[in-house]
Amino acid sequence: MSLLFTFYTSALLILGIVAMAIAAYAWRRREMPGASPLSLLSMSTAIWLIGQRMELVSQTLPAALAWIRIELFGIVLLPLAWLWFAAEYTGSLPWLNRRRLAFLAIMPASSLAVALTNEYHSLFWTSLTLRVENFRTIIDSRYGPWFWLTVTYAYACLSLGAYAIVRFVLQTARLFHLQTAAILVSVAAPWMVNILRLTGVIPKSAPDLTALTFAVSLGAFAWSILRLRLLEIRPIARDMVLQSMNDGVIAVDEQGRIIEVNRAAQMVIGQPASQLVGKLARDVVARWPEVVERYRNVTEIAEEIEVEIDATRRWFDVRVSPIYDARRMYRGRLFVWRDVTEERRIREELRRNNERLLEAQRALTEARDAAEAGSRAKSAFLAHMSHEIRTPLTAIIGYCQLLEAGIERQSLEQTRSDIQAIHLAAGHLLDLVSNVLEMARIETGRSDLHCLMFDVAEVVRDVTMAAQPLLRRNRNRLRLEGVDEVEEMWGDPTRVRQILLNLVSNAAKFTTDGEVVVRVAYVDDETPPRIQFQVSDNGPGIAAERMAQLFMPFAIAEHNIGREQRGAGLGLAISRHYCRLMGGELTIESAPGYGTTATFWLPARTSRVVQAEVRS
Amino acid sequence: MRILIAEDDAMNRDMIARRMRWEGHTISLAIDGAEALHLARTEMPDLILLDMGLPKQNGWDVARQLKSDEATRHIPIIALTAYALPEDRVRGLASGCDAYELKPIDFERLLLRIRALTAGDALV
Repeated sequence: MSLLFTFYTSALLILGIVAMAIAAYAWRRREMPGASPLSLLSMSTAIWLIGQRMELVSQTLPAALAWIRIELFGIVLLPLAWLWFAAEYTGSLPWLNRRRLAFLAIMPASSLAVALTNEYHSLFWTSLTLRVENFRTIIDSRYGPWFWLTVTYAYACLSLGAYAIVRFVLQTARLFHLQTAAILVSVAAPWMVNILRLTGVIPKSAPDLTALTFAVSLGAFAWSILRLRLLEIRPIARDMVLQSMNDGVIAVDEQGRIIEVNRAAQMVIGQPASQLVGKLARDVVARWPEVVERYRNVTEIAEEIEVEIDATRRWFDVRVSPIYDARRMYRGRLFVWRDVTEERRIREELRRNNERLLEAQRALTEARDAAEAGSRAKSAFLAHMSHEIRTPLTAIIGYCQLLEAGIERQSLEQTRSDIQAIHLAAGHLLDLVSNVLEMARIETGRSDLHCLMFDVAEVVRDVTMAAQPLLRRNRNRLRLEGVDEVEEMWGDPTRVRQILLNLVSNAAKFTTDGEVVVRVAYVDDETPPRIQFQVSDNGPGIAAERMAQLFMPFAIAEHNIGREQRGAGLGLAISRHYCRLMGGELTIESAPGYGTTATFWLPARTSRVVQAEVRS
Repeated sequence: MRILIAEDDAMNRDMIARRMRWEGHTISLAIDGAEALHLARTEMPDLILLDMGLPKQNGWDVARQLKSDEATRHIPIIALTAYALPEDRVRGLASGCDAYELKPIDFERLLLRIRALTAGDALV
């Protein structure tokens, strides 16, 4: 017995036992997809291997024939088991249900029956002789038609299964190169050996290595499947999840070559997976250079970016994560992205709505505060009006009583002075009432202007005349500057006079033994050119905290302001209103201790400008 | 009787002073709160007619200071003011005024008040 023969038969036995072990292992996990057929496949391989081994070492013809028949049982079962395994494992042969499988099982069953009854019809073997040489059983067989039918059937099953497996492997699991190679080799190897033998390239006298090769294939299979636990996580389900995801998924290896690309990603790129796998990712997405540049060296990130696709700007949520193999070695990167344009739009809309709501709330709060302030102002107004009316009335009534009771006893001079006091107080009262009415007109929007060309110098002269009594009372001097600089202007002379008188009166009231200066100027370095009036005094000035209230009606109602200086408290509010109505502005600057300057300007519409406008 | 009149409005000051002189009183005049305090302390009048809206120091402060000072506490103070709201009256009395009279002045009533206060019992 040669060493090779011993080695060969030992290998058959060992591999047969291994195949049985795999069968048992797979059987225990038979609830997993592919496990049952794998178990059957392993079992039939084991029967084949052990049967062949026993055949080879049989020393008698009946024993050898008996083992051949057992061996044959494994051989005819194997192609069907293989097809079943391929169908169930890949899920890619949906038409191959159990009923059809049972139908396909008719063929191996018939073959077995034909082989077992060969002595009656010789359809399987036309002759079968056996001799024992060197403790070694050599079978010389000539095959009959049924044998070739069986072979054809077997090859059909094996081809179909191999096709399914190869296609499946190529479509999925690309990350595992080694496994892919193992599966492909294990599918191809037994074929090669069997084809070589049947075609006579390997002489028939040599041992039949088909079974042995198949056993090796089975080992490779079992290793790749069981080790990578593919039976435990159904690969087809995983693949379906990946393919049906709306998120785009691309996996690239260390060199940036695409190893996996799902359907959503294929849609975006516009090419099928078959054209994409193996290509450099940066070439595939070269249409979006900013994307290539952005992720050139990024292995881990989660962010939102804006990309222009088909001339519309879209937002994507992009996640990049590194891929490590079982030994924690870096193997590539996984890109997952999702179009979040709509999401962002909704988010943005929500944010804007929220802002609008907050804005509305602010406006409401403001309106409420304004209403409350208005209500408070109204109460303050009434209290103040009562006070302001009572003061001159006190003088009027008081003097009247004095006159009533004592006119006979007092001098004519005294009587005249009392009557003048009554007259003055009545005048104050009238001013107050006029101002209040005017303010009411302004607040109800019923104030209007009567504009015409008027002589500025004349208005200034009127004002200085009217302000004389006030100026004299506090011994103030009046100085005019630049009154001749502007000859005439366009505006409502009554309002200009009113504003100017209000400012001069204020200056005169609050200043004692000082100087009030009225300046008129044409200012042409502003747009539009202005005619500017300034009233300055060197009085006590206005404290900073009071400046803000100056233009509020009745702001003057402070208890520590002297009676002599009080007006109705409406003058500045009215003046500013008319100034603005004529397109100008009224401002007040003051520094306590240095005096106050009130400035108001109006757009310079002198006769030249107005004529030019009329002509154009 | 010596009466101190604290009033910032010149016309009203003059008018009230003349009327009080007619009644035979001796009159001192103050044009603001500070002067009123000063004169009250130096001249010790028998009664003070006090305007509330005085410059420099308002009437409420003047009344409060005089009433918290042992030396001037006994001087009756009549608030004489155009602040006519009920809360103004409360505020005036709370600051220590013995009576609160409104402008325009009802002199008959004012004179009764003065008599009552200087006789020692307040008329409410």
